[in-house]
Amino acid sequence: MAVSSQGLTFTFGGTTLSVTNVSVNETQDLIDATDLGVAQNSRRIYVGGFASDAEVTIEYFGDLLTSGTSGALVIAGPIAYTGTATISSSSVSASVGDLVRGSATFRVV
Amino acid sequence: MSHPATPEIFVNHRLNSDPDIVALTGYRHYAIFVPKVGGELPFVVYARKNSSGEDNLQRGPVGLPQTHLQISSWSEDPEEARRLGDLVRKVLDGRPGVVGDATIVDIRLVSEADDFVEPQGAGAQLPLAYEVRQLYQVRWQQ
Repeated sequence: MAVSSQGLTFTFGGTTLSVTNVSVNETQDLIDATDLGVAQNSRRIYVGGFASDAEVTIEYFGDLLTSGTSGALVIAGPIAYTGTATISSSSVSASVGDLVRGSATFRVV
Repeated sequence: MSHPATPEIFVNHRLNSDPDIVALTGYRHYAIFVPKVGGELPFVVYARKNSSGEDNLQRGPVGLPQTHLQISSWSEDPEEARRLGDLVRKVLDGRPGVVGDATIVDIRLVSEADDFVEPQGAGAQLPLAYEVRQLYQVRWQQ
């Protein structure tokens, strides 16, 4: 069932940001465990359970967030996600006739 | 009593406050349409062409909507229409400010064109009228 994005709140370090876009990406390292016993034309075998990564990217209205800052990250509403995160990259832009817009990427531990 | 917070109130106040503009128009600055009585040339007419706003995910509108206002300076004399248009630009382009509760954070001219109307049929007794039509982008506090 489709769910509207509207109503989502994003809080980092106790501050709620005026976000316009939120993406949560999780990756899991997989080891290729295929051996010579694999049947002809069958799929490779992967084994998981190793190191994983979680990354959150946002676009928002507001000033620059300082890279390297850590804090509690809380996403609530249509997406629920929490963790302790550190800002790995951030940028801010201003242009004629427009609002000040920022973007940031968080690494979640 | 404070003014309602609209860019039209801001524009009207700016036009009424400029003695050079008032000397030409006699305070004939109209929103949307020109009245049938008292609407002699020259005059200025302003109207919204469109408005848009920015939303965030949390609560929708973030404020500071953007409105495009068309401001037309009319006269029987093309040189006078041009002079009136130049005066309007002088008091509005890049001149944000506050009037009553209307806070204009950004106002800038985005286009300008000359035009004229030659009345036909029932309006044929009316004079040929020249227009300097300007479009302003206004970002304001709602």
